[in-house]
Amino acid sequence: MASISGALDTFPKFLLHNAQKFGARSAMRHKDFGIWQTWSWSEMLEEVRKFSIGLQSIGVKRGDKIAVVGSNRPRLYWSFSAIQALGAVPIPVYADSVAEEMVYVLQHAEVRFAIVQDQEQVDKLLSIKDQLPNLESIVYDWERGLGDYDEPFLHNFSELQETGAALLADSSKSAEADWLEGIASGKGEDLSVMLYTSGTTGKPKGVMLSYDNLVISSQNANKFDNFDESDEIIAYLPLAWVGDHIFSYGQSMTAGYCVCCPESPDTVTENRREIAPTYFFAPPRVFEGLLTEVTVRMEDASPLKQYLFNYFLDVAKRVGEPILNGETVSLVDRIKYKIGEFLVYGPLKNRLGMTRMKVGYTAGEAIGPEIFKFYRSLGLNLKQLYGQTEASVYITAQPDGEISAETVGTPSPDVEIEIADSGEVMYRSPGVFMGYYKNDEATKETKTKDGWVHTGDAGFLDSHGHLRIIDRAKDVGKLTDGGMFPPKYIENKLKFFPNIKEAVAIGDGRDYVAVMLNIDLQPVANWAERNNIAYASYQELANHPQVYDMMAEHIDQVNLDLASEERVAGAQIHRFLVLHKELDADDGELTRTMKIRRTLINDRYDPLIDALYDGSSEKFVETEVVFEDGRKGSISATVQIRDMQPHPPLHQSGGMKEAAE
Amino acid sequence: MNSSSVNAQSGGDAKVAPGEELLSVANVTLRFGGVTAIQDISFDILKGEVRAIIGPNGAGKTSMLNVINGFYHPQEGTIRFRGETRTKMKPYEAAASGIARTFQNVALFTGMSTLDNIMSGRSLKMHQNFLTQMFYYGPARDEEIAHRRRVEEIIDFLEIPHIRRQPVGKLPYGLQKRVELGRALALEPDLLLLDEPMAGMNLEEKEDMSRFIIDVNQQFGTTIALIEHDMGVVMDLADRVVVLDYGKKIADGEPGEVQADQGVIDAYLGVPH
Repeated sequence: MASISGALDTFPKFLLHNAQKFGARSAMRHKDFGIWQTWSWSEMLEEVRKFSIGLQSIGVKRGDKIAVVGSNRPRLYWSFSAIQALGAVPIPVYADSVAEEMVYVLQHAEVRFAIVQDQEQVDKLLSIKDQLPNLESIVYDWERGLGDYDEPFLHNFSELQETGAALLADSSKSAEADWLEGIASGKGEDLSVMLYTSGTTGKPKGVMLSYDNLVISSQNANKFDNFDESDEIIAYLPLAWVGDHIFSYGQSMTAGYCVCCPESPDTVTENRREIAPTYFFAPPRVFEGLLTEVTVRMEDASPLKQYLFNYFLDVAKRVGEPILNGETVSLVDRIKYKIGEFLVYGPLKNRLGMTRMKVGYTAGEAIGPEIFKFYRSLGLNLKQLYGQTEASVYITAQPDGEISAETVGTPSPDVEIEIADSGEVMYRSPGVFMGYYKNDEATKETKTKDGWVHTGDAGFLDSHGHLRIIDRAKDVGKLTDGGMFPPKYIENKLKFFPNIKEAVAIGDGRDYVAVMLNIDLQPVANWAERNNIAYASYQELANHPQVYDMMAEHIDQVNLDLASEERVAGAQIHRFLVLHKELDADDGELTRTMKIRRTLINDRYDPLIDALYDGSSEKFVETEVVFEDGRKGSISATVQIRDMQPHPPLHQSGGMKEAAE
Repeated sequence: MNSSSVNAQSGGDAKVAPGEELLSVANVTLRFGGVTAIQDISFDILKGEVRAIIGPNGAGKTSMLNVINGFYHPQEGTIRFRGETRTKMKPYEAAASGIARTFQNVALFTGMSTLDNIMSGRSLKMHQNFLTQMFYYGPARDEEIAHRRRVEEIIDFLEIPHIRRQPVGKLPYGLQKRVELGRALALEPDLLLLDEPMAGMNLEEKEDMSRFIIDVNQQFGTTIALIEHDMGVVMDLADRVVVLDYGKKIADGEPGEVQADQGVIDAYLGVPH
């Protein structure tokens, strides 16, 4: 068996180390043909080695950039190690990117090779190959449908592995020793991976992260939450997202824990239930989605079940969090909570695949306090963290026992935080990126000479030293009367309602705030079914008067909420509409991580926005939509617009209030 | 699922090489009382090809398929499958001899899961008797596992693992059609008959289904005869097309030729009589 000497400072070295230290322990699982297939650390090393040497045989060499495109499959994770072992650099790309988005990244990174999941991705690459002069070969994982593709530059993953195995077996060559030497010559300061940020504005930027960035950040995170080789996670988030790269690759390599790949992107929930990961990361929308699903199912359950569910959830709401935080709770309540655990929380956690969950994290967006508390009250250690690609994820995280729905925690190990005079959050850490690839100007704008990075988020540290994020600094605007307009703050309040999937607030430089909403089809369709509301399409349901009534109720609630906060009372919503189509990343309206792109939406829905401010009660629009393969179609509809009655500010002193009435 | 009494042994033992005749229909006439549904039709299907049968409504396409698969018995003419001429054949015998089909309307066991529906397509290939299957022991278990593996490969192939355990009655139409294709594939047929596989589908579902049909044809080498209305689909998929109108064959050839044929254009667009 291969051995290594020197510091553990690159992932291929960790792989060799783990194969030696953990040998037969599970490194990776993948559900295939309905059965969980497992690879131990030593088996995984073997797979990686064969493939890596196979890659070498088609010309991969030190410094090459190699795109990795697909969903969470073992072979794509192995590709990372196989590429890195040769000193080349993997560039994970969002698998659902349309061809033209992919062109930009692949051109910019000058990729020579691409390793892709299946025919769909091969077709996508073939369609843009003439725009990619550097692209030499494409390797595919799943051969279905590729049987009659005779392009000479297409390679099957398994065949490359066979080539690699043959070279390893050939005693006249020193394939293995050369390979190990290549790994040994890798250094911590080398470029490890390039991740393209989806960016809410402008073209994607290639964030260069070194092994030192990723290894140190991963090790710190493992220590912070006590992860070791006994842990298990499920890998389901996009490979191209820094979070997945850290959780499913970096932390697994450094802690030695097992990464489980779902059968397909559609079976994640089911597969998570089977695995019951000990560590679970999800953006708020996943937690929201799970809760919505539970609520919808309970609405269809028998009255007895509904009664039990509601009764014990009330108990949990009251005493669950105090128990989790180790506070004093009366004996009666403790007994009730125990019964509830047996009857409701236990089965529910099992259903959600969270029975064994040691730590859960949410990040990326604000999470609704209700949703956050719901999971915590079940006894789940759900925490928040705040991170960025440029920081190798970790900037702040909540330590156990110091949890709040409003803050994102204290600085992570080795991270320094400062709030700039402008209110912008700045940080410095070992995880800070090397720079943007071929974009020194942007690097200089973001990273100061002494290593401080601008987050672009406005926030402050509270009295306990916990960071609280308000909004994207550049998004906060002003209404014509000078009042503050924090769009994301308003949108998040709206999105906390399960029936609202997306919201876009408009108001900068306008007389009042107006919003455009997307309904969430699952709960709204269920509600429609229970209320005998017939509809034929998403569009029709979205435009239904009763749906508008429901939305108006939610908005009224948000307005009431806003009215009680002095700084934003003027930012209450005056008019709204429900969009006739879902905002979609394929149309460029959302980033691949599901954040809204304001400028683009403002341009595209310009007629609707005008209508929100010209007093009309409906507007006909036609919107272009893009299919995943790049073709275009259009959707047209007449969208209704409704007025809301804002509430008087509740925060003013008594005398002022009287005067207002 | 108890084992079928039908022996799964194929009808003709001779292996047909790709490009050779797999099935031929000669001078077939089918009448229902006074109505002639099919009149003196002859064509052949070659091993490994995708053969489309097209024509306006009521042209006799589905009847033709029913004749091939033994559901109707023509009054005149002969059908030769793998070199063997047959006269009267029951549908289950056709299935046992290697002809599988899907229907114009979905015909699945709606209360059963996707997995069980596809597994039911394997029943012809199971040989263990009811008793050993009941105890799930020894050869019966090995057999079940072997078949399950094959079914899982089909589920993987058709990209439907997420609905493996769901009752098919609750699935959207496009997925039901895919399950139906899966059940037909479970039979590992030599000839697959698809009756309007894309009827009632939206554009995206049609594209998915086309892709699956091409992949089945290429990966498994399955010969396919399909009836389809969508001309775009037919032109893309088929190697050869036979056109029926009022029970008669009016054209036969490659898609391009057929498309340019005046008789076909008249049949589709109508001519003054």
